[in-house]
Amino acid sequence: MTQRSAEKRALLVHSDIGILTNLQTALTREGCIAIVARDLASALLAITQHQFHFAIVGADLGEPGDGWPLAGVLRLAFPKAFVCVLDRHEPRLEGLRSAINYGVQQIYVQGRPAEEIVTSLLNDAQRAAAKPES
Amino acid sequence: MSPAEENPFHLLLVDDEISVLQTLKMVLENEGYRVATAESCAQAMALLQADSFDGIITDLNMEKEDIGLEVARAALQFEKRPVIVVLTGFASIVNSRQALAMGIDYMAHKPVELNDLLPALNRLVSRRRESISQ
Repeated sequence: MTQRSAEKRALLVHSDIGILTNLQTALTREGCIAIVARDLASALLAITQHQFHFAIVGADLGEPGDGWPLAGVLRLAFPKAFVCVLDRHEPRLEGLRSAINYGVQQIYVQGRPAEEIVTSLLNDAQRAAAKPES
Repeated sequence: MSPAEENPFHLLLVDDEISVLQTLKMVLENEGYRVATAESCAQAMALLQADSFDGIITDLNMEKEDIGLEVARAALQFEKRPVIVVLTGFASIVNSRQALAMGIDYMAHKPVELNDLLPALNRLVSRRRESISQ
């Protein structure tokens, strides 16, 4: 367990149970409490029940691109949280624009091993926390 | 009278196209914003040093390609950094990635869709004022 993520709570939202499980395992190894949701309704319920420090949201949940507005809601609900989106492919122009306009801080490609994604997430979150807030 | 009415949000609008600058200034002033304008990156830099702003709206490509990101970079150095909106007619993967990494708050494509830009701008600057007053 690393000190930097001790007692941090993460929300994982993805329609693929395998991806959710791998990310949950990797986050738990880093000392985080990981709450998982497979769809929009469960994610919204989790938002009302917990405070989150990180969130990883699949770009496509039930419909193509419906993860982006959820990520935007998470940024509004938890302004200090680090919110990222997991996309199937390298970010394209539209994805990058959605990320900026929904306040998403990073896009990760979901083919990468879960441990790598979690390491990037924790490093990126630390860097983001050091930046001045708007 | 609300705090925003007593002390209107102060914006810096940067664009080398005078027609865009004048039109957006008029629209934003009608929305209740106080607006300063700059026609170049150099003018914008001087205004940033001389005054404080709740938000910066800058064109991306002016005297040089992507020079709007220099204005954004300068604004990001302030401890209470302003909201940063980038306007562009020529978004690319490279400049969009840079904008995401820098933490640009909103990216709007030209011609600007005011029905999207204005609510987003208002939400972002209101949130900034709230977070500063807390």
